[in-house]
Amino acid sequence: MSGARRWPDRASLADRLTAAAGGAVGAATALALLVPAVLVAVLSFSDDSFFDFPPHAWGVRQYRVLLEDPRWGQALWLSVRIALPVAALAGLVVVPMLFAVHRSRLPLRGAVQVGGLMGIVLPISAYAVAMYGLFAQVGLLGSYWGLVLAYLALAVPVTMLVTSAAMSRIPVELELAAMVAGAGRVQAWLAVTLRLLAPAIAAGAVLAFVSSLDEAVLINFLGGPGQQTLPKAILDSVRYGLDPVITAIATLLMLATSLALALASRLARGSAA
Amino acid sequence: MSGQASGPPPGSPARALETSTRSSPSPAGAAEVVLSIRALGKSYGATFALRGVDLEIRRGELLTLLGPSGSGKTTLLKLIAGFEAPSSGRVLLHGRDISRLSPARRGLGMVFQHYALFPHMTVAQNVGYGLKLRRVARAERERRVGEMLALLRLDGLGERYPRQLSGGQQQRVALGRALAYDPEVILMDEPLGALDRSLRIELEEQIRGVHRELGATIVYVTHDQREALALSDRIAVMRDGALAGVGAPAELYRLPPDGFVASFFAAANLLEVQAHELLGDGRARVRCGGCEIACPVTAPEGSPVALAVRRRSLRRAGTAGDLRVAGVVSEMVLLGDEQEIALRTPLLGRIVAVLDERGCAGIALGQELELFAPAQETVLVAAL
Repeated sequence: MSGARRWPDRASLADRLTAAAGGAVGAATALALLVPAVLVAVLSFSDDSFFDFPPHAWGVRQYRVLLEDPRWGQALWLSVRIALPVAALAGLVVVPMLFAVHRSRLPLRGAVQVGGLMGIVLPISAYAVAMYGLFAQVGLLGSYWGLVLAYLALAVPVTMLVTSAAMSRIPVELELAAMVAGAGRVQAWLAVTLRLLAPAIAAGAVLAFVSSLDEAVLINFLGGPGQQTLPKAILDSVRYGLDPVITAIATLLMLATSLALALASRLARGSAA
Repeated sequence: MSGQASGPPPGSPARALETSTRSSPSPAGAAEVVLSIRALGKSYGATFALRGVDLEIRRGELLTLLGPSGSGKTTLLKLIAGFEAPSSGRVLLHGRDISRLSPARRGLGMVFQHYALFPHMTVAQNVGYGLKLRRVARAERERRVGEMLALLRLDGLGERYPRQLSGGQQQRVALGRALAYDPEVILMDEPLGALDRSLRIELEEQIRGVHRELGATIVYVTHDQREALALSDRIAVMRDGALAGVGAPAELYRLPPDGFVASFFAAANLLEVQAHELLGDGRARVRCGGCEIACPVTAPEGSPVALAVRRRSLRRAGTAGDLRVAGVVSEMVLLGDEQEIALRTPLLGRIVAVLDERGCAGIALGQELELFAPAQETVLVAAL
């Protein structure tokens, strides 16, 4: 057998090894992510009043406790009350940013884009410390609107990332076509570009909602004594002793965020068509 | 017809309704000027995209801006449409300066290379968009949209969305959208550029039909000289941001004003001239490659010159007074009924000829060949 004929065999062996290694890493990652999630979900149907595995009895005790204890409901309500305006504001703020970055010749549009995405690369704890100092200066510590503001700053980059991708798929010719046909510039933006962008903005708002609903770091720096958001309540309950109720909360939270993310990706895909 | 010119402004609803009453295109020459471009220039920093172009577009004509990429044809179209502001000069529509107006207030129509249909609107909504902006009543709008769909053979597709249509159909919708509100002038930016060959020819036919039936005034941008020949009443050849020549296709083809138009538009050979003398009656005596001929001339006195010889002017037999070239056959490409042959000549370099395939028996690569062109079909032009 000649050397030349051995080549394809060697190549295919290398291919197979690479593919196998890739598959193994993928499977391990999925497993590492999924196993705890599944474990928590399973544990949430234990009827015990303490952590143990495997549970001594099965049932919906955790969910009953969750519903009966007003602390959890209040925490969830505060989280939602913060996340909703954050989502709405993120959707609003992102619109002028998109037009500035994609449709203007402003000298600063590069800076707007970089600034818009900065929050993603900034370490959250460093950001939290900086915010703490700032909020202490202006008296926003422990205030509801202070939290909305801080979470908005975290949410805008996420929203920007999603909507910016959608915006770059909308050809500028559509606006020009509308303008030649008789539409003013703003009218063309509203009736054509913004209309086509709407699903992506909705997706971005959902992501903003989820990101502030889940946030557990900033709240510890910026929150006041009465401000128990859901993640903070979970953290505190773990810190002062393990209450198995959190397995039920975690399960519900995972379910809700999965649904929200599925919705967001559906919306984002819709705007591409 | 004069009622059109002095009629209501382009933005008003009344204008949109009087379409079909417009008379058929008037014969060239007698027609009034609709769009007038005066010393129009555009520069981006230190680079000039357009250098002082003067051009008049007459009612009912289809004028093509033809040129290679970067010649300024698209820039000129953008300035007419109002997508960019000129650095100098003016654009006049019926004598009114529109160069500072927004695109919306110019009352023009436009067809884009990549259709630019609104994906969230149906075909009927796309076509009716300009009418809706002009606040044309719903019943009238629907009638007009129906008319357009019938004209463009899109009947029954009104409720579809653009993504459900083929490329050719989409471009017809775009054409309908531009025509529906009866704009003064329709701008077309390489509208066939994104289509494949057979569709191109079909849509070309349709544009010609629309132009003929509605008498629409059209400014058409392309880099394809075949397309320009097939469609245009007049052609403006552009080069380096300036007009290289303007004229009826046949006129430009037979008597190109300079070497660029001759080679880009008519694909002519440009031969070096040893000596020439203007005869004063639009003809010149020219010595070229060892023979002396008397041929038409478009070059101004004193400019460097070249002899433009079109590929199809060359043939195997000639008479006294013809241009004669001789050389070695260096390339042969069969085009179907015709044979393209490149000659390598000692005096004039490479010369390309297109001969009738039936007369090419016995021609082989490397063989000596002698070809003739009637002096009347050659032109002394200003050199590049």
